[in-house]
Amino acid sequence: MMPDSDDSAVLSAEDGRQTVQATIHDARGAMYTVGSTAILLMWAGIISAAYLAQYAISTFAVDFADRWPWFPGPLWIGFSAVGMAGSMTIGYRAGRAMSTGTAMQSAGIRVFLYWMAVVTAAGLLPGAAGLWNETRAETIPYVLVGVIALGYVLFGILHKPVIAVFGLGYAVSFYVPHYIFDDIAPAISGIAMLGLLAATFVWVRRTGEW
Amino acid sequence: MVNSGEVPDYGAIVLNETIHQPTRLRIMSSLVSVDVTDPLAYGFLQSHLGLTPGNLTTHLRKLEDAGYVAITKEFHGVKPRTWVQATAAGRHAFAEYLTNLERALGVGRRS
Repeated sequence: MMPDSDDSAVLSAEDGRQTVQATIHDARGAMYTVGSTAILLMWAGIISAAYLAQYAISTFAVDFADRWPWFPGPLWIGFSAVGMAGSMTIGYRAGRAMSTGTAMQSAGIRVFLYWMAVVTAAGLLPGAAGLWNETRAETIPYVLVGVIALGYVLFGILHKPVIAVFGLGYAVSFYVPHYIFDDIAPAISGIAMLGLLAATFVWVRRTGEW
Repeated sequence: MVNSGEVPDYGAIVLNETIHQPTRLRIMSSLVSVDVTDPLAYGFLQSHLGLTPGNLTTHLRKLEDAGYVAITKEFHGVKPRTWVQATAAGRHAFAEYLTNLERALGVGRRS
C-alpha cells in the first residue's frame, strides 16, 4: 500500500503510471468482489448445514433414506437455492453501499450471470451424465461440488485469491472425507466446512477485508 | 517508490501538482475507473485505498477545491452516506495529466 503521504511526497513519472494502472485495476476488481467475503462465510455455513442435514437424515431417519435414496440431490439443490438468494441479497446491498451507478449494475449483472452459469452447469452436468435417476442420484453432490468449487477457483484467480483458496478448501472438505470414510463422511465434511468458516472469519478479522 | 523532495524535472512538461501526489492520484484513478455519471461511496474509497478518514478528507478537500471532485451527502433512513464523483473538469484534468505523464516518460527514456 502507498503511504498516506502529504504534499512533500513526490512521484516519478514511472511511479505515477504504475500507480494509475494498479489503482484502476484494483478498483474494478473490487467491484466484482464487493460483499464476496460475507457471501463466502454464508456459503460455508450453508454447505456445512447441508452436510450435517444429509448425515442426520441418513443416520436418524433410516426409513426415509431407504425409501428415497436420492434425497441428497434435492437436499443440496434446496440449500443451494437458499445460498443463491442470500448471495444476491448480500451482493446487491454491498453494491448499493459502494456506488449507485451503472458500473456497479454492470458488474453485478456480470457476476450474477457468472454464478448462474456455474449453477446451471452444476445442474445440467449430472443430467447429461445420466445421474438424475433413483439409483445414481446420490452421486450428484460429487458433480455439484466439483463444478461449484471450480467456479470459486476460477473467480478467485481472476479477482481475489482468498475465493480460490475457499474453493479448494470446499472441494477438499467434500472429496477427502467421501473417499476415505463412508457413512460418517457428510458429518466430517460438515465439520471441515465449519473449520473453513472459522479460518475465513479469522482471516477477515485480521485483514479487515470484506 | 515515493520520495520527499522536488518534483523531477521533465523539461517543458508540467505534471498537474494537484493530481501528481500519491494519495490524490489513487483517489482520482479510482473515481475515473467508473462511468462519468457514477459516484463512489466515501467508505469504499477509504477501505479500497487503505486511508484514514482524516487523510482521505484532507485530500478530497484539495481535489474539491481544484474543482476535480464533487462530494454529496444523503441519508438512507438514519444512515448518512457520502458520495464522491469526478467532475467533468476533474476527468479532463486527469486525461491531460495522463497525456503529460506519457510525454514525461518519453522524455525520461530519451535522456
